[in-house]
Amino acid sequence: MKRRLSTSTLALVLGFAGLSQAAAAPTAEAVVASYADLGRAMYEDALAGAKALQGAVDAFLATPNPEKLAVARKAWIDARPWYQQTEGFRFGNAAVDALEGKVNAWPLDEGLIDYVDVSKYGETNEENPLYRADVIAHPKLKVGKKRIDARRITKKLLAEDLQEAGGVEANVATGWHAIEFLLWGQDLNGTGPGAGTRPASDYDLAACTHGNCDRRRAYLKAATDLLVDDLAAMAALWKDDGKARRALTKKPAAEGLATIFTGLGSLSYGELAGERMKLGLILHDPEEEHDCFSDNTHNSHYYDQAGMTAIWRATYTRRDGTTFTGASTLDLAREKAPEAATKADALFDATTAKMKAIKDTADSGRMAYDQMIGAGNVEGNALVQGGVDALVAQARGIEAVVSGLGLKIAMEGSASLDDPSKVGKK
Amino acid sequence: MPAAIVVAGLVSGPAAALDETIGRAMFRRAWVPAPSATKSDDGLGPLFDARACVACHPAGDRPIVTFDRDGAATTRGLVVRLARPDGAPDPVYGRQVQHEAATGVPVEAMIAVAPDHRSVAGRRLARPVARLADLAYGPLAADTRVSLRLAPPLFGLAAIEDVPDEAIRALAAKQAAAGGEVRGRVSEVIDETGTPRVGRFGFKAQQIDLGRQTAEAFSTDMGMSSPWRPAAAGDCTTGQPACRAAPQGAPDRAGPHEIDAAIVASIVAFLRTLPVPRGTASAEAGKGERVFVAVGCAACHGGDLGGAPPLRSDLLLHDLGEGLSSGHGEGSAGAREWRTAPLAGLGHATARAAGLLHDGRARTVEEAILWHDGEARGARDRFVARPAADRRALLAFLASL
Repeated sequence: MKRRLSTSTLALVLGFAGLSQAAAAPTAEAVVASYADLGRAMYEDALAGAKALQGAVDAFLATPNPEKLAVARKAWIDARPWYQQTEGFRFGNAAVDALEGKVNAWPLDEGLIDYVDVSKYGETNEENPLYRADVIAHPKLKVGKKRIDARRITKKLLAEDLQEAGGVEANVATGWHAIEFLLWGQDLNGTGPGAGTRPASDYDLAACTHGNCDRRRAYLKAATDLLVDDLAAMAALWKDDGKARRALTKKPAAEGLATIFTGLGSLSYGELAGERMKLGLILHDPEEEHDCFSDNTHNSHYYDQAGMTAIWRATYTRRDGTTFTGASTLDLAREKAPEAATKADALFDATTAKMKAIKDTADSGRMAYDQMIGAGNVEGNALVQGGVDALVAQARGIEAVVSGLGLKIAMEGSASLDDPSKVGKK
Repeated sequence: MPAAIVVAGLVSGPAAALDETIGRAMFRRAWVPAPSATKSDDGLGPLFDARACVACHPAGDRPIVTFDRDGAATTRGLVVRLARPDGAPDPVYGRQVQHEAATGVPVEAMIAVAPDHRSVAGRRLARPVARLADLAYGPLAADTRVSLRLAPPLFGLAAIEDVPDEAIRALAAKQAAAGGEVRGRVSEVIDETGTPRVGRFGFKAQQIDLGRQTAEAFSTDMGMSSPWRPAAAGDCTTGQPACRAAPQGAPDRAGPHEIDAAIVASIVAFLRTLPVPRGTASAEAGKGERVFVAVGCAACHGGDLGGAPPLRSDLLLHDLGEGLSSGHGEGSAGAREWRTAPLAGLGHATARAAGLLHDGRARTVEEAILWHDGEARGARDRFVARPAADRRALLAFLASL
């Protein structure tokens, strides 16, 4: 997520003692090594999912009919869990976070990319001069004083000229959510039922709807190909000589463990419970829904949790059905801080159950996530609040493990404590 | 509104978890006029000066306001306050000139700022004066006074909020007993339950806590209602029918207000996390602190009320003379009275070359000192009379805060 976590990043400072003596427990080094192996496995699966999406998008562009569009949308939905499960790696691993913005930035001002319904979206936005730049319809753009030649829509144009154009983070030109918008279009139903309903003919050169189908096709193709490239780069971070793995293993092992817990705690607390769930609940705002075009938010939240649990237990079912297992933080904590470990483990299960309840309700077709956060939806609000509360408890449980392991932990109230200049920036 | 609502969001515990995260998002959120597709966002205006908190408080800091050739501000953060000599709002324009409006509602006025040069303590200094043009709702009342306010920095507010009322009252009593040139006055505010409280937020110390100050900013600056400022049309008066008749936000939300108590509480929680930025240490600062005390600055800007770093404000109202007068009272403060500005973080402001004092008129700390008059005149004159090296040391001390 592009929104930087600020509040309550679990900043873990080392001050670690006596992890390696106990016989049954894995060493901290072994846990860190298995974490990096899991990173490789997870990002390889995310990459495989994106490649499947790429195949479906290519097939759709070859034959732009509603059936092929449905297949492409399904490929997007099917690919998401594999990416979402990796999100526990994002915080704490700087090399991962550096690439994350291109891959999963959100929320986005979709008017940058394509046509929008102005009656719902609005005409202008003070903070974003490119709010309705609609690059698909405009081969020439101006960003401030800089002219952008967008006659050819390429990966380079998206990544270098349009992504965060003008320094506005809502100018998301690349990644999962840009592709999501291109496949579904705007969800104009607010907190009512239904997702986006973009017609397949938006990509049909022979019977083009909404104009500029050639450019829309080029955009979808470039964005999808770029996602595959970027996920390949993310997977490469975890190879034997990959940047993320090297950064992790060259630290003292205690600091490596701290990185793992930083990822789990930060995603649980400020990011997922806070920015992605509680904020939307307070505002009752469907725009605050993570996968807002496709109505897939219940899955994206659920698989964040599944990924965090997999990291905690070093047990992960891969895309090919095989199981990854390795030395886990749970094993290590069971030896060194058994009470906190058992408690935290139960909190992971409890959170999974709450997130599953959200997912099951959405999957049943009875109520989508954007409806759950609607004002006055007592049942839906309670479901989401249950998830938030469980995630906060899980974060507290992680904190207890961290302190039980003798790691020193400083729970930040806000990133602004460290850097007030970040406060005003999205 | 019951005070308990404010408190509820501020207690620590599971209910308050995540409040700072949410508050930070709310602080940056751009609200939109009603009606809009996203009901959650609407309710801005109909008259407003900004769409988001962050627009006037960039990164929580003082804004650096720039102007075009005609004197119109090209950035946000400077607003025009209106009041009659007794502190009552203008009968038509209300308490502030809002320079933007929702579609279909006339904008109140065009605002231009011009410098007014004066001789102050032997130096030629300028203060900004607001000129209003294209007044859309007729002239101001004959006795309405116009004054400017620069958005204040939002750092270290928790330390101010946490000072007990008694500590502030005790300082006032101490100054009165001393019988010196400085005699601060408590800003007496009666809260909704009829309890006398000590005002401490705002240039005139009109607000008793951050919840009310936040609600005030939502109402006056953004035209949004909250439990503490329930008027949906904000600063629109009965003399502005188009504004009163414009659509208001909130019907889709749980409560009757455009901004509910939980949102205010989250913003307060966020604001309370903003720390005071550090100043620039220097070898001369130690000597400068001695000069600071010796000339009498510490009589008001002392460290009595604690804080880390020290607030360096007695949070009392002082008469600062005619040169700084706003021309009208506000709350319990008179036209010439201002709350002692906390000096914590002044070094950061100096380093940014941000404008100081209530309207940003002082380009340097030295200019700000020179503008001090009234109760502070003695200290100001003793500062001016000091040798250059002492003055330099004092400024170095202030830059270190």
